[in-house]
Amino acid sequence: MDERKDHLWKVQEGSEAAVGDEASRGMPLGVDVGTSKIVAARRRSKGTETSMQLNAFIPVPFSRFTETILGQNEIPYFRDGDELVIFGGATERFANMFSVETRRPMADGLLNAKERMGAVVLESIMRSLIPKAKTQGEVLSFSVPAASEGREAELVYHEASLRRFFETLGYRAVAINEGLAVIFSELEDQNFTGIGVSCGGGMCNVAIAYLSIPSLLFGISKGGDHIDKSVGAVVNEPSTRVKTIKEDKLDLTKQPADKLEKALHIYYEDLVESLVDAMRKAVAKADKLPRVHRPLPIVIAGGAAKPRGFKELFERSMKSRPFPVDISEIRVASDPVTATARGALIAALYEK
Amino acid sequence: MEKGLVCEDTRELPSEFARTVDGFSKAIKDPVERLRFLRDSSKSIRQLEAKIPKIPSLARPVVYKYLGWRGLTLLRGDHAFKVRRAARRKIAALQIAIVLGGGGLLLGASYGTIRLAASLGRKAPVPEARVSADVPVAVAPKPAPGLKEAELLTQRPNSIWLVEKGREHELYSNGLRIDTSQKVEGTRRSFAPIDEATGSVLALAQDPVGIVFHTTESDIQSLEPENNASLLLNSKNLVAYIKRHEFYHYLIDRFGRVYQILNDDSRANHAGNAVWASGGKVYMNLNHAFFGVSFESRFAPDGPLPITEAQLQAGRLLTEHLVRRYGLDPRLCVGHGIVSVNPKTRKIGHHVDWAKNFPFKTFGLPNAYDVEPASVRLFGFGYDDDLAKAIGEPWPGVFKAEAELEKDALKSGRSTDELRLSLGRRFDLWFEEQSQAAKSPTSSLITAPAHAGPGVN
Repeated sequence: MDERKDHLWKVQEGSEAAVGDEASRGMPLGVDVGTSKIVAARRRSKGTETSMQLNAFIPVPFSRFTETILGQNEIPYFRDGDELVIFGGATERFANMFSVETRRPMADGLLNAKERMGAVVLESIMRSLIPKAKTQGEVLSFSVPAASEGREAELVYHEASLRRFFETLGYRAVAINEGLAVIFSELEDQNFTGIGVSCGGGMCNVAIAYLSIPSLLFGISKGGDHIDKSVGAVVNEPSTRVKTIKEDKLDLTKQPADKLEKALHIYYEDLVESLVDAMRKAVAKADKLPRVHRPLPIVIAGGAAKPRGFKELFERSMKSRPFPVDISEIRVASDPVTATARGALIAALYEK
Repeated sequence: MEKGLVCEDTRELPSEFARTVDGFSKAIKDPVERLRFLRDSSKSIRQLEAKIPKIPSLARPVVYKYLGWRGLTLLRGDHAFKVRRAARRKIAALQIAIVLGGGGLLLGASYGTIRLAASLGRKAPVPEARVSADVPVAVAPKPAPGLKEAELLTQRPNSIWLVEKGREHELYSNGLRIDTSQKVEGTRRSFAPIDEATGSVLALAQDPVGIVFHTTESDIQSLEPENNASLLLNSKNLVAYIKRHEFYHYLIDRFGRVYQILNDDSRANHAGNAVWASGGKVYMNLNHAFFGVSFESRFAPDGPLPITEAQLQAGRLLTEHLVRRYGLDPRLCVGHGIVSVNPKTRKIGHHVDWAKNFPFKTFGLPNAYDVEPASVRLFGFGYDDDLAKAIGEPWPGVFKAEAELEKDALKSGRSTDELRLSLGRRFDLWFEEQSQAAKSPTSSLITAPAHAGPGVN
């Protein structure tokens, strides 16, 4: 029999694949577009593969020598007039070296309107992580924060800008709320029922879902960056350095060893108090919460939830005053930094 | 703006239903499939929401369970095979229980409710043009009473004739315009159907008998003005590609332009591993006997039709033209996915384009999804999880054919697997016979029986 249906059309030429090898390309993609980090997740035969890039940049004066050094060390950069814009993971190293602040394409969970190069840098960072779609219309799910009061219009612009960018790469882009993505990645064993909290750099996002259907989505404009800036201001250190110390050695279960750690403890407590207080108020005044017949689990994800002792701090705050719904457990996601991207991946696979 | 998963319908689910699906979903291991089940079940109940108060409260748990089981049958993937099978059995058991216990007021109510749930729980039908399925294409349909004003005012010619023929096009009276600029002459058609009752190879034929509808599975751009150049280029490249490989007789591009690629007398490489039967004749290798008509599209088992409105219209007109011109049997106008087989693995659905959702009714054709496929009924072909993964549940005709197979096995005192094995041997034999007959230039008479009909070993 001479059937020749070998005409499945040729694939488009792709960019350098950052997530997944050739075999896994063409599969749906989940992307967490966070203020501090961008994380991409793709399913492979042996599980989920993730890849991340710092969502920051730092411009340095152009010189042939600097450009050569950057090239030799494979540090991602692009030239903008008389400056070289270094972006991604190496940014913090340079910032600490020159004792200056890194700059952010995003602020408070959304595109940073005050940053002239924000959109260009963000696209460059995302291009370094996300290959072009193998075929037109592949599904990509990307995270968006909840609309905070008075910033709805900014969220619309943020979401539309990201969607358009992903579409230029050939994807069909679907937005998912960050908190819901955490529920998708971490509460599968609870049938996607519970409270997902994403504590990121710019915001903390919360979602309550029952059987995967979100019934409450909200966020507060405080996150890891707020801690870094506040601590930096009181101890007179660049926030980039505070961030490095916070991520390297902060342990909230131990007594602070110095002024900087003490300030970190104080501002972490402030963040958690603000978050739990906002959750309490939002749940109390919600008029359409599902009548769930069992206590809800809370799962916390995001880079700001990484320090040891964060869960205990959160638990203490929850226990300090009654919470409007019964809680079965509080836990930190298995991998807090990639949880949102992994949840977005589940959404993308579902949308496929 | 597309909001994706963020703005799903957040209304509360009936708590009893939620508990039911909550329990059912524990059988699903894959998180994506579990999510799909929960979301699909929620959609089903939303569609039924207005009707719920009319359902007797005693019958509601049955409806909820039915919807849950139905959701489980739609799971994809190898690992969900057992879950799907168990759910199908439960639905069957429920239906049998209801039928056996018929007469009881409660069960009667339940049955009615389940029928209601089944009808409402189904996916919303694809929007179709108003051509009745009962009306053969050869007859112009009469407007039914109650049609809207615009429809009453439209006119359709009673016959289709060639209005104009240019160097690079043909225009027909039903509005069909065929671009013939790319038309080439291929190898002449020559095929030998097999008599289903006797297994004899019938006389060689050269006239087409039916149509197989395909999708090109090529790169598809959305219909946006900014994609104009790509859309045009894609069509142009596609025509060249199809022409080079002689894949189809006709291509309908995204703008509904109909290109004739191969002469009507020629065969095309569009459905070699394929089987279909009607009117007592079995066709194996449909490259010769059937027209290949392909839509520039990618097959999608879910959601709206994967073709544009213009393609739908053009496809209808082309079908109407071919059916009338060559006296094609409408029962032999089918989707590629439902005729395609893999002879090595003895599985159906080797290709899946139009294995679901072909708008037969709109095309004025009988619904081929309800017909027992010859591949299953006559040759015992089965299906595997790859098919379920691609399209969800197979089309209804497959289940009917499998039920018949089981009955036949019971009658003959064999297991279904044994029967399938013997029918598979029949396939090899019949296929070889018809291939030989088609190759032989002298074979124009009925040859000796290849096999002695359906009940053989």
